[in-house]
Order: sequence, then C-alpha cells, then structure tokens
Amino acid sequence: MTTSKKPALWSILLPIAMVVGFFVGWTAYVRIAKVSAFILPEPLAIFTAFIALVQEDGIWTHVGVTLLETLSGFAFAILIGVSLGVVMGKVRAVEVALKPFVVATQVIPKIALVPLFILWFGFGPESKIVISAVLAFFPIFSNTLLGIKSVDSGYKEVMTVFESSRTHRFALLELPSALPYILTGMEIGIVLAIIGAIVGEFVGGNVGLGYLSVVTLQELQVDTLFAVVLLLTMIGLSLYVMVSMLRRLLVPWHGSASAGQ
Amino acid sequence: MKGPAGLAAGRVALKGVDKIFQAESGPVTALKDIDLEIAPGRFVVLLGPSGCGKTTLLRLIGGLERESAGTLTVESGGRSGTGVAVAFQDPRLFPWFSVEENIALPLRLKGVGKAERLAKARALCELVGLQGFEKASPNALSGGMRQRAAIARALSVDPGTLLLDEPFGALDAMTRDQMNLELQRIWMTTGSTVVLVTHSIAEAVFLADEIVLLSPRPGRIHKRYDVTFARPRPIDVQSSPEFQELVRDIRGELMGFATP
Repeated sequence: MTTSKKPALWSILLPIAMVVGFFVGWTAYVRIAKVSAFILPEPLAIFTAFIALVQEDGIWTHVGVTLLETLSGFAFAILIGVSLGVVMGKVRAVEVALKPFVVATQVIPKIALVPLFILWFGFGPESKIVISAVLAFFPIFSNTLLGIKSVDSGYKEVMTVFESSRTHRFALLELPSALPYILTGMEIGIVLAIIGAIVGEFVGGNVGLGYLSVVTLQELQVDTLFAVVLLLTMIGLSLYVMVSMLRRLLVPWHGSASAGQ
Repeated sequence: MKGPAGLAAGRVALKGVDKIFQAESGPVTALKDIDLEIAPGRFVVLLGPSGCGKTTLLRLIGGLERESAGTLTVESGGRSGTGVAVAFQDPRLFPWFSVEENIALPLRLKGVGKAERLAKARALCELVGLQGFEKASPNALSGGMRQRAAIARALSVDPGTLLLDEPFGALDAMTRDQMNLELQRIWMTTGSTVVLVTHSIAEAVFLADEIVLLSPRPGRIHKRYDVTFARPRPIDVQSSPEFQELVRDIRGELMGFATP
C-alpha cells in the first residue's frame, strides 16, 4: 500500500482487517482442531445457512412477531418509565414512598420471573411484551429520574423570576433538559427489550426468533442457530441505531448528539 | 417617572431587612439592618467586596430569597406581575431554544402569542445589537453576545425594575467597557429602574446615579454616593479628574474593610 494523505484511512482499514482476521482465524481453528460442525460451524457455513434462512417460507413471520413483541414492550417501558421517572423526580414524597419497589425492581433477577410471566400472561405475545417491558423499564426510568433531578438550578431560577406556571416549567425546561438522559435510557432499554422478547420465546411459545433458535438447537442445526443469532444481531443493531439517531433529531443542541460518530 | 416606552419604572423599598442563612455550622447573617429606598428610574449600583451580601440583596429584591426580618416592597409599573426581571452573572440561556426564542421566553410564559412575542424578540435583538443572530443557537454566540441576549430576555417583559447581577463579570475588559456603554444606552431608552451588582469600582462610577457601598460580615450599607456626571457618559469620562477622585475615595473605603 502506498502512503496516503488521509489520516482516516488506517482507522477505516484497521477494524476491517481485524474482522477479516477474526473470521480467518475462526476457520483455521475449526479446520486444524477438527471441531465438529455440531459444536462450531465454519463462518462460511453459517453464511450459507443465513442465506437459506432468509429465503425460507415463514421466516418473516418469526421476525415480525419478535419485532412486534420487542417494540410493544419497549413502548410500554418508555410510557411507564418516563412517567414514573418524572413524577418521582418532581414529588419527593412519591420518591420516598416508592423507593423500596424501585430498589426491588433493580435487584430482583428478572429473568428468573420469566416462567411466572408465561404462567400469568399465556404463551402468546402478551407475556413476551410484558417481559420485554419489565427489562427495558429500569434504565429508562432511572435515567429519566436522574434527568429530572439534574435540571440546572440556575435555569429553574430563570423560570421563577419570569413567573412560569408548573406546566410551562415542565414543558419548556424540565422535559427538554431531561431528554438527553431519557434517550440514554432508551438506548440501553431497546437492547434489553429485544433480550426480553427472545428469552420469553425460549421459555414458552411457538413462534418468533427465540423459539426458532431453540428449535434449531434441538434439531442440531447449529449453523442455522448461528444464522438466527446473526439475524437477531442485525435486528438489534438496526433498532439501536434508530434509537441513537433520535438523539440528533431531538436534542441537536446537546453535546451527545455529535458524539460517537 | 415614565420612560420613553410609556411604562412606569419600579420603586424598591427595604426597611430593617435582615437575611440569615442556616448553614451547617449555625446561622450566618448575610445582611443586617438594610434600609434602602430606590426611586423609580434610577440606576443604582450595589458595590462591595466578595461576601458582603450584594448578590443576596439583589436576590431578595428579585424574589429569589425571602427576608428573615424587616419589610421589602417592590412597587412596579411593569406590565404584569411583580415587574421585576433579572439578568444573572451567567447568561442561563436554554440551549434547546434559538436566541429569539430565549428572548421571547418570558412573554411565552405570560401567554403572549407566538407572532407578537417573536416580533418583540427581534426588536430587542436590534436594541442589544444581536441582529442577524435571531435564529442562532446560544451555543454559537460569544460570551458577550450571550449576555446581551440574557439582558434582552430580561427586557422582554418591559420590567419596571431590572436587576443585573455582575452581568459582565466574565468578560474581558474591552468587551466590558463596550457592554457598559450599551447598557447605559439601553437603560436610557427603556427608562426602567436598574439595580446592578458589581465589585468593579470603575464600572460602578461609570454607570451609577447612586452607588450603595456595602461592608462585609455581616453585610450592611456602609456609605452611599451620588454620581452626577452628565448622561450619556462617554467612556472617556473615566479619565476625568472628578471620576478618578471618586474612584480613589471609594477604593479608600473598601481598603478599610480588609481584615488585618
């Protein structure tokens, strides 16, 4: 390679080289160590399985169901997390009163409750939506609470001096000020929402990508299992990127909007 | 007294006002026995060393603190409410609003319609020298321009009394002189009562009709000076012997406060 004036070139090529190297190493390991394809297939086999998977009849039903569960759960988590975060951030009595429950939702291993949710809400999408929402709730809630409590006291004085109503104070100061925090919570929340839907499908149900991965494992189609994981990764990445893009749309004034490009 | 805007200026009166803060180590008297009458339309400067309670006094007048004893009245010819507006040490502009939206914010809080309040904001941009930056984000402005915007925001409600807490404290000396000239012009245009806090003697003498010198621990009114240079005062007034003499006088008094 000849020298380049662009300092960014190596920073693009290096990660690509690392990824390529990773797959080459993976292939070499599987061949040299003669790893069984039932344990770890070669990357090329996974890629072939992936192409076959997305061409299969009915795969998009699984994708659609998992997406629906994830997004519905995420929506509920935003609705409840933001409202509760705002109320607790503004009303000290509510914060004190609900503290034990909040700590409980944080420390209870929620995954352990998944069978219970299946029992309560059935094998349909409802139980997965609930699990998804429960997992995504906490980061959204706690970041909203932090955002509301972090409103600059100098800004609050501006609103006091100019005799703002409570509604205006909320809509023009507290909400915009907390929005970068809420978006951070949503970025963490969307990933957890996907996990919630998949884990729900693992435990009970007959449709969705989580269900599909369990079935492929039972049929010892390990390459297809990896293909399902790949598909899930791509869905997860797209959702995460979409939520991240909200930042530039909603809080262009905030430093975080231009970070991490 | 009425300014050219046709609005009556505010009157501020304090009688025997104390302000005591409850600190962890016990009560701290920030202000003691303050008697102060500010006539409508006057430009009054509160001057004193750090910790003399001048900012606390301004915050009392602005309704951001409550007096511990005594009576405080602010009568105002402002259009509504208390008619008091404050520009703080830091501009405190909301970054999610443009410059004009920031300036129009107090009017929005009072329920003024969008077209009317933005028209007013644009007129104020012109008054404070921010034309061309109406749509800009506050983040894109220099420190001096942000303070202009903050003052324009305070002026948006046509306040009877304008309170300024070292609004140019963070600016360099040259910008500061320029801003003080502008402030004098704006005050002469609006005719409102102004109370300004500073610890710069030259700034106080340049701007004030009346200087209230505060002494520290606890904050008390030490001495008052009438400043009678003709208006509008050019920046050169600072090199006149009378100006220098007054500055020297005040500096002498301030030196007396220095703890041995």
